[in-house]
Amino acid sequence: MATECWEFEKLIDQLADGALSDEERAFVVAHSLRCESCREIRRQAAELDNMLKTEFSRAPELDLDWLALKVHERVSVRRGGLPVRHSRLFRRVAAVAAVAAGILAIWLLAPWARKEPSVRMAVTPTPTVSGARAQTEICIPAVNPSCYLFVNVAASPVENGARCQPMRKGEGKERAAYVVIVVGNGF
Amino acid sequence: MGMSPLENARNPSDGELVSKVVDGETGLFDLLVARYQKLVARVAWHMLHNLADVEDAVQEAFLNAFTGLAGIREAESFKSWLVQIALNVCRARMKGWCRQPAAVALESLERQSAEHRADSHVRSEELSAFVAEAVEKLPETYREAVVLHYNGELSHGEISKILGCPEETVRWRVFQARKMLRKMLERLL
Repeated sequence: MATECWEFEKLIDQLADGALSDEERAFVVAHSLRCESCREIRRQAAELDNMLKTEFSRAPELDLDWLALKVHERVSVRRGGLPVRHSRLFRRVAAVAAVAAGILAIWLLAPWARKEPSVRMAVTPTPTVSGARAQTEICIPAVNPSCYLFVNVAASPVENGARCQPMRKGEGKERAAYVVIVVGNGF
Repeated sequence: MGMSPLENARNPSDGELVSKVVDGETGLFDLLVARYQKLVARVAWHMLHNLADVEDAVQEAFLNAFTGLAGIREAESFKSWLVQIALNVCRARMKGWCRQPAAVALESLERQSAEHRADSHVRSEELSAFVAEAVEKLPETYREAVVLHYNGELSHGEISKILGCPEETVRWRVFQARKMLRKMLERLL
């Protein structure tokens, strides 16, 4: 193959892309006028280019509206899980908060952090009489002595006529020995 | 000439849409789908040649894009990034496919072309089928370059981003692919 033909073939495919300089284009045109086989190559290249353009401009016969709807549905399912981009400060604060929450959870759940309530078993039931009304006081162990709503009997499990008082906050640890459920009339 | 503010508001750029979606306006992703589903479908079609596969691939590509949107480095390059995802989806689907050895395919294609050339009445549908088959016989890297090049919506710069190679390499692959196609379809030309 002549040097010119070899040069021509190198350039011919770029002709369709418009990637040739004016000088190169002039060479291609001039050479294809002189050389019959290269003219044929040029014609084939142009034909191929047309065929490829036609082929690749064909879109598949898809229902694009339906497809968009399907994509919308599937994306909607994932929408909650979209990783949203946050600022660096936000990410740092979130990381510190997560670590703090972890430490707190460990502290609360760890056995050494839990203090068993000082609960004594009650002597129950002890029938008592208060005025004209018969009562029965049943004492059961307090589950959580620090609870504000518990009622207790201070000194002994049951005393005649002792009334149950709601505890105040902070009194629980020492005094909440009993929960008293009073069964009877008058309460 | 730049767009007026009104036009700009009506037709936000990819970068603006991506930022808004990432910032929580996820409904705007539909606009990106509407904008690029045709392009993605065309790329998938020329890679897979099967409607059901194309439908699945398009959905999967957009879903993957949505999930990974927060990780996009250049929001304005959404189009290239999306096509790259679509190509990866197509590659994954094609992995299990059994392909004919290229040499045998080329021979049979040449024989068929010769027979049809003799008819001198090759219908456009048949011609299209030949071209599609010839493209399918190209090595994967060349085929991808040709599919993206002739798609008409992507510049060489965008193709080089999608394929992860320099623009020169893209040109070279398209050049080689054309040469092979010319040989395969010689009798039809």
